[in-house]
Amino acid sequence: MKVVGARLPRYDGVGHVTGRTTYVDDVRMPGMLHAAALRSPHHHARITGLDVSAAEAMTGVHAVITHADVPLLVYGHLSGAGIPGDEPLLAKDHVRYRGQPVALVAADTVEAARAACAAIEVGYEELPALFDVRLAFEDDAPVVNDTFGNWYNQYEGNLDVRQIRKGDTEAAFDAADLVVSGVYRTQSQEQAPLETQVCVAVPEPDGRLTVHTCTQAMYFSLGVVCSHLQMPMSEIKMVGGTVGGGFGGKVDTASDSLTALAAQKSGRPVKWRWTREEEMLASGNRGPWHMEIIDAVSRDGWILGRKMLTIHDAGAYGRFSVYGLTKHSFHHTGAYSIPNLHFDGYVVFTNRIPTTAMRGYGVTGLSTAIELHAERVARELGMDPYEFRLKNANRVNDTSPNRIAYEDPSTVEVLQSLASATGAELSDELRTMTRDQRTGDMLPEHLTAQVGSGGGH
Amino acid sequence: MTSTATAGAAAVSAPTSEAEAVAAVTQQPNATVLAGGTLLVPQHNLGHAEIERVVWLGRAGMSAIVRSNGSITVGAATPLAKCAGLPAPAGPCAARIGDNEVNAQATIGGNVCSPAPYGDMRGPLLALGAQLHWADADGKHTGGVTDFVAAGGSRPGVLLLDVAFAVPAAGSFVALRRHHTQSLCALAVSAVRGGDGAVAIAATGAAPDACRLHAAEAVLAGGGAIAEAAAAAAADADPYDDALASAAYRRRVLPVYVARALEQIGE
Amino acid sequence: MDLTVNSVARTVQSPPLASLLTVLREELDITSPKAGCESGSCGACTVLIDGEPRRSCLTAVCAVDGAEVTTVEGLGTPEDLSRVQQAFIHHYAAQCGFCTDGLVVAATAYVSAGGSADTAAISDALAGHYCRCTGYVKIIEAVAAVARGDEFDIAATASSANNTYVTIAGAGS
Repeated sequence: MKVVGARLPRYDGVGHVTGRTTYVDDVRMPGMLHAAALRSPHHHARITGLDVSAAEAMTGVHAVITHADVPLLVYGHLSGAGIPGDEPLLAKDHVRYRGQPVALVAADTVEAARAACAAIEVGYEELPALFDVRLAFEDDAPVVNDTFGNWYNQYEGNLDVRQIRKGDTEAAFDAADLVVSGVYRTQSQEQAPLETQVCVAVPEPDGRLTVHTCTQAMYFSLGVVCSHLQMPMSEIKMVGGTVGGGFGGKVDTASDSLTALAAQKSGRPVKWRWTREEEMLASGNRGPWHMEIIDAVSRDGWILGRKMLTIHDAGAYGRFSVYGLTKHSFHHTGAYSIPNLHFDGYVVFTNRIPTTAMRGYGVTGLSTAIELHAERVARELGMDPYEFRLKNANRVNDTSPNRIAYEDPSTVEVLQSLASATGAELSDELRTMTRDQRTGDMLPEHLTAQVGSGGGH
Repeated sequence: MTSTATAGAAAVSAPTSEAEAVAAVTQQPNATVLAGGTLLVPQHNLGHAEIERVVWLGRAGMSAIVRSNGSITVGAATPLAKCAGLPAPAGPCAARIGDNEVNAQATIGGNVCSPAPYGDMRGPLLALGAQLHWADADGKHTGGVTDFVAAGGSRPGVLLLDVAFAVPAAGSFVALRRHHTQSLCALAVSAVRGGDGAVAIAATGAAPDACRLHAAEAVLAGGGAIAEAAAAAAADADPYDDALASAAYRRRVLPVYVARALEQIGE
Repeated sequence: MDLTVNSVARTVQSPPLASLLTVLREELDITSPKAGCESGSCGACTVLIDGEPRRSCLTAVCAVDGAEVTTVEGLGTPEDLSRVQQAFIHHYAAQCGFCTDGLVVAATAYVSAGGSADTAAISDALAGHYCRCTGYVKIIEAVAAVARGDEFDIAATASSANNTYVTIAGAGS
């Protein structure tokens, strides 16, 4: 083993400590223009007019891009997975969130580009905005999303809801000594990489484009740019890999397509770097989750069944939210083994910034809810929370909500380490528990049917 | 003046004395004062500030701390880091504003001119009964922090010259913040016992602007205990919600901090 | 206006209210100070002005006319790394690297001023610097190691200036 356990240098370490690493904002091109975006000042409005002629006539302005300049205006991040696109690259008839880009200006300087943005005339007719996912289902709720309405409605073709059904949940609740319910809500969070969204696009003499990108997902972003521009992949060269932090926030390909269009239209290299304010106000963030958990529990501390309702606030457009919710549904028992499940989940649209990946997409807020709920159940049972958790902890060959047998579950070791680190006393039985497949006292009747046979589905 | 440069819309002058600075600020229309720059330059960077004319104080002096006859005068352009050695509550407050880099660059005058959530120094200076000296087109003025704010001290055309206060018999500063640029102060309490034994208490973050806590002071003057004074602090407070703290939290913490500040000055 | 930047005399033409960050990056093409927030909050643009760490984004260039400015490029080179730079490599204190330029500058000022290896003192000195990757532990370890006078074995790392990629057969499949 030359590598595992060895002390290896970072290949980029010397560049990082000497200021030599070239990030996208450090790329300089002869004749490079600078871009600025005109963004929606409203959470929700109909666009009644858009006039860029004054901006185009200004000194130093080389290109103004609007919806009319985008070859494929509406595209979806999960189009490749068969989920329809819903988000226009630039707003056309409506703005659905504050900060939504309406136009992009490329000019000699950032100041000139900002001044030109201010000269663009947009007519808005403000509409009522929807911010609370719980109100999205009301008959008189404002309609947010052109493609789907107020929630995604095409699971398995035509379902409104992401469902998981496993075991016999009604029987589990009939058998329960105790039913414990809780509602948990997490807030949105900005990934806040130190490098804001940034792109340099360069038109090449042969008609191709070179795009210096801060993306976290090079080939995905290449597909996004090629789709928006309706160009073959052979015509666009993406240069990247040096990213000043992403944490999920650089998957959306937030700046590449528009910068490429501006470079194409102006015939000049264009740089678009978002300000920190834009990053905070308009870049995709981790979305809020509304989670309701009801557990059927036996007096001796087993979770017999779980009913769960999740409403994910996707913001104004879908992006990856359907994927995020599906992952959420697969993890909705968390670190614990529960054989009987009834899960319903909705992706709901609101007039907030569209949400996206951030470290444990769909699962981080869920873990908060699950662990708070575990604590609540243990308290209601009057049981030591460690004992309650270890008893129900995932073991080898227990199966997940989507019926995958766990090969390497770490719950037992993590809890034992936590107890040891915090000085919590565990009984001998709990201290020596292993992750091995359930037997004896740890394999009660209700879990026998859900233990898998190893690696299978 | 040594230099005047014009670029874009903003002209910058660099007066080399306080008198030149007063003339530059008060005799030109729309003159914005640039001292440390920690608040003004970001506004300029992000294109938020329409700045026509700038008077930079970096060569004007105005950054001395003079002690004489039991009183201290601090030039408005004195960096906060240099104010850290002032007696409490002024020194401890100055030391805790921003991180090291910002603390070394930002000035006491710029801080006093900035409303909440900045303006941390207004609290200590209120408690110390500081006298501020400033100049505008009508001449020179003297008054307390409240007078300066009421006179619109941070508007273009006004130049804060210095702040002066008597060295207190005892002083204390208790604040809710951590040492980081981002960690703006949600609530702070300053307490001062003067040479005559009277106690003055002031807070920032308890109301939209810095305020004296007169009711709490009156309890002490009447011989009341710290706990009674702390309970009375709410009378002068006007707690509000912002990104740093809720009104309810401010209401709850204020009496705790008043009590701590008073304990520290040995009441 | 005249500046000395990394020991080289430069004359700059930018407007007087332009930030030093903008002047360094856009006029002088010195790109190590990063525009992370342009409002003094993140620390990524930190440079030495007459030896003191300052936010270049908060500093109007007119305020540093005649000053000596040092960026991380001026502290050491790949062939001749400073001790702080060596420590950041040795302790893996740089991850994405975007905050590193500012942190190396601030850490250099800290140890030059005789700062101790005390972790509380180091974290206080670096309080104005955001790092979103490391959780700060490795950064503080690196600075403490310099303050302690540790020796750094970076013979292996020096050759990495040639971008020697480390590949692990079968990893990530």
